[in-house]
Amino acid sequence: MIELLRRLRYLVDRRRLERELSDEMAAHREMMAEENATANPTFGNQLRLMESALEVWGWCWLDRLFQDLHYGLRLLRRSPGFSLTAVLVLALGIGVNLTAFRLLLLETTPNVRDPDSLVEVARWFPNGMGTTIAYPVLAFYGEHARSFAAVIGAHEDSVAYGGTTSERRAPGSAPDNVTVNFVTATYFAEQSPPLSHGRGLATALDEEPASEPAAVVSQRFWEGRLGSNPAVVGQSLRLNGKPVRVVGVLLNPREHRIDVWMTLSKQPYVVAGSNLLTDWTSSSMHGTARLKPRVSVHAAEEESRALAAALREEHPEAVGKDERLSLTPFSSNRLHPQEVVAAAMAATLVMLILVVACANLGSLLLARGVARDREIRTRLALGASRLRVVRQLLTESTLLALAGSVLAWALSAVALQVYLTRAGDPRDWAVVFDWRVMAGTVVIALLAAMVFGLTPALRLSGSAPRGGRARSIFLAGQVGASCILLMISGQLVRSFGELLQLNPDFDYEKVLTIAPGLRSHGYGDAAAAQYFDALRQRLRSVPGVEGASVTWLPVWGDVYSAFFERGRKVSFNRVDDAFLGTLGLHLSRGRNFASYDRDAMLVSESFARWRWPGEDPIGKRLIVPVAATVVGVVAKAGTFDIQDENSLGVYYPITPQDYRDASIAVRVAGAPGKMAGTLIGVAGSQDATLRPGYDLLRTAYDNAVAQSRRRVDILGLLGLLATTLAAVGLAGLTGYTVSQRTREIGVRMALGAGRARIVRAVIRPLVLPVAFGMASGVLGAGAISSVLRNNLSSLRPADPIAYLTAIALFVVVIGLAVCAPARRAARTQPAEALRHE
Amino acid sequence: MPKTGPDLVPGTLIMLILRVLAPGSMHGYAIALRIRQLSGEVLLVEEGSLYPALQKVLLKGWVNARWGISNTKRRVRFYSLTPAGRKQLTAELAGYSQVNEAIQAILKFA
Repeated sequence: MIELLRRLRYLVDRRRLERELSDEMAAHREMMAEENATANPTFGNQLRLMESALEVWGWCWLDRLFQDLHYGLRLLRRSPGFSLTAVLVLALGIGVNLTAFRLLLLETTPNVRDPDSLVEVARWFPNGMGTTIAYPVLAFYGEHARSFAAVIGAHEDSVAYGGTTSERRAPGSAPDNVTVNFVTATYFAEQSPPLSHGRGLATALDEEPASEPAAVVSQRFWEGRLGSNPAVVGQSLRLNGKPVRVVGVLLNPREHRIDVWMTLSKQPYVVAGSNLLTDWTSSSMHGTARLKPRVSVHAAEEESRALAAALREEHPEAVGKDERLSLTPFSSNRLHPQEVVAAAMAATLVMLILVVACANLGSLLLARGVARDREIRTRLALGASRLRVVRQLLTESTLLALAGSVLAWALSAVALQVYLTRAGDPRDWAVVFDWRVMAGTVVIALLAAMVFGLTPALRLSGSAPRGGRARSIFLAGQVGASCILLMISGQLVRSFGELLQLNPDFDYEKVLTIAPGLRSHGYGDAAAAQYFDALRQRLRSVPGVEGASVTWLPVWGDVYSAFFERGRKVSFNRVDDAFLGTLGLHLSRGRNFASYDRDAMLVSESFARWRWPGEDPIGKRLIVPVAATVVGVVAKAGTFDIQDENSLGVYYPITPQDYRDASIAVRVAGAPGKMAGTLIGVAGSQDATLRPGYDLLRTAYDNAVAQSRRRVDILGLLGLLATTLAAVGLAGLTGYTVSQRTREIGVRMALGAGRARIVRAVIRPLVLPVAFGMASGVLGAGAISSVLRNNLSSLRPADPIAYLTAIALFVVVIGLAVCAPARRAARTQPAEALRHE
Repeated sequence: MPKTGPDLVPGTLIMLILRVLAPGSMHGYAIALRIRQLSGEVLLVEEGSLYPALQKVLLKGWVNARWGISNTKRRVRFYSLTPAGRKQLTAELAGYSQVNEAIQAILKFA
């Protein structure tokens, strides 16, 4: 122990102590020389002697490390081109992995405070589970369980929303329904969801029976129903006819479907006659609990077993025999098995990128090492051990890897921040500075350094003939992995990309739908028809409006209607005669129908082809769901299902009974978002009690494809990256080969070799490894894609054209990467080349 | 460098250094000289082994070192035993004489 302290003191004072030893030895030498001036002084090489004396203190490795680092840095500085390429290649390889790792962390970390100690509460019975629990029971656990710091209860009710109390509504008009989450005040205290206005619900303020009923609304509710009013706090809403006061707005709540949050104690106030708070048998609450620090899930579950038994004494109706709680931490089980498979596949692809990058650098290092052959030989000849040389070379690799990972870290931070911002996720730096990420970065970097550095280091310091086989293996590995990446990502891009290529057969970007909600405002059929007739006329006279069409169901809305014909689902809608013109749909055969034409229908081309193959569909009759005759064929059924271009669809003429539920589709010349306000005003001005809503078709479409688009982008990027890495690696390798053989090429040319011959000589050693790599890559890609197909049902079977395209593209890129340096070699001037050394 | 004497038994150099330092402090060169004289010019301590050994005893805390002026007016480092060093010397001497006697016994028998 004291010895260790002495060692450490030595480390601190190293420079001085070394100088002292050196002085001491000098004095020794002088005294010895004085004594027998004639004899040879026996003192050997002082530096060596000092080193062996200082070795006693055990810090020499540190010196050597600094020496290696110093030397490595100098070397990297001396060839900035190589260093920059290496760092960039590594940064891409590591960065992709790091970003994937962080995304995984992000997806599995719920957006609440300290998710590790939050547990979902469920009831556990010897023969089953129950995910909900009665409020008095939950409250009992909250009061008596010592494992819990707090319990959170939540209960959803659908409640009639009657607008703000300052709005005057027509008597008898039916209100809309909103979803209210009645929660214990601990919900806000424990989860601290982000608020954009006001405050959350608090125990002291809002749970007291005498307190004024307070509500927190969701951002969506605030924007959609309260018109983003900045003075929202203090407004009063009518829920089930009862006034409640808004105290805050929740930003991006985790539970998307919830409109309003209120304290549980006010639930009977809003929902008249509710006995939720006193009924021991109705399992109507979703329970969550916050564990106390250092309490394990298991201990808490065991405690609940005893508590449940005690409660059973008093309330046998509330608790089953041998019942206990089952607790699931928020931070676990966030991924479904299906997602795990997808994540594993993504991880494989992403790891392959790193493999490519490493193989890339490995072969570059080898090529460079061959150029450094003389230096390494000299060092070995001067007495450096093989281990010492390997250590030196590995230090250089590690330096590169660390530099690369720093850059990778920055790259992935930027990528992640962009992702979070685009996803509207309020989390940022908390995730970016995560110790797991830091550890992950370092581990990946060191692993990479080992993979790409060790083989070249061993190979170069050995006495075996250099380069040859290891380089071929690296080359083949790199080409193979790149090939797999390119082909798999290509296949995935094609599969997901189908959604993007899907072109609804009309210009949806210029269309919006307006739903006035006539039925809930007490309109009859005649009044509704009158309203829509007038609205259609008025909208058409608005400048910038190109068409308006009344439809029974809104285009691309939440509701759709379908019937079954010979086992297949057929979507249908009822529309007026202006529908085709307004939406911009094309008739491929026949004619349009007139509104109210009881006997006419339009069918989609896909329906006609499937139902009457090889026959003329015009004049055919269907009797389900209503008897009608086909009068025309629409090119596609694009207004029904965004995601399925082959969906079957039928249009019937609108009937007088449809108007109470109807909405109107409007095509405008400019941006529909800008026109929306005007159009809503027109729709509302006919009846002041109406508050019509609108939807842009563009929004619906964007939502449907956004997910796929992101995937396609990422996959495309991976494929591109793999190809780029392969190209950079091969170009670098060929370039090195050429520069190494400049002299030889000069001699050949001086002896009369033609350019074609030189190019062939440069390329020939690369042909076999590249061919081998491509062959194994194609086979590997086939194997991976068959695994993928078993797990991702949406993946299309591999089509040979996609494969051949990928291979052809790859061959072209590789060819270019190899030929450029080879052509340069062929332009060498013999005299210049011979002077090269 | 020609060999001028037999090799030291490994491990004994430190004991010899401690023994030579027992009467009082001494600098490095003087230690080497003293060992040579006392052994009747038989044991020649080379600098390549003396200084590592001195660093070792410093590390172990058996000796202290401080700078002083030698008889020949040179700035040299004087080494002196610490209490721990004395204890170590006693222990090593006891161990050594035991081993020595045992070896002698075998040699006589043969």
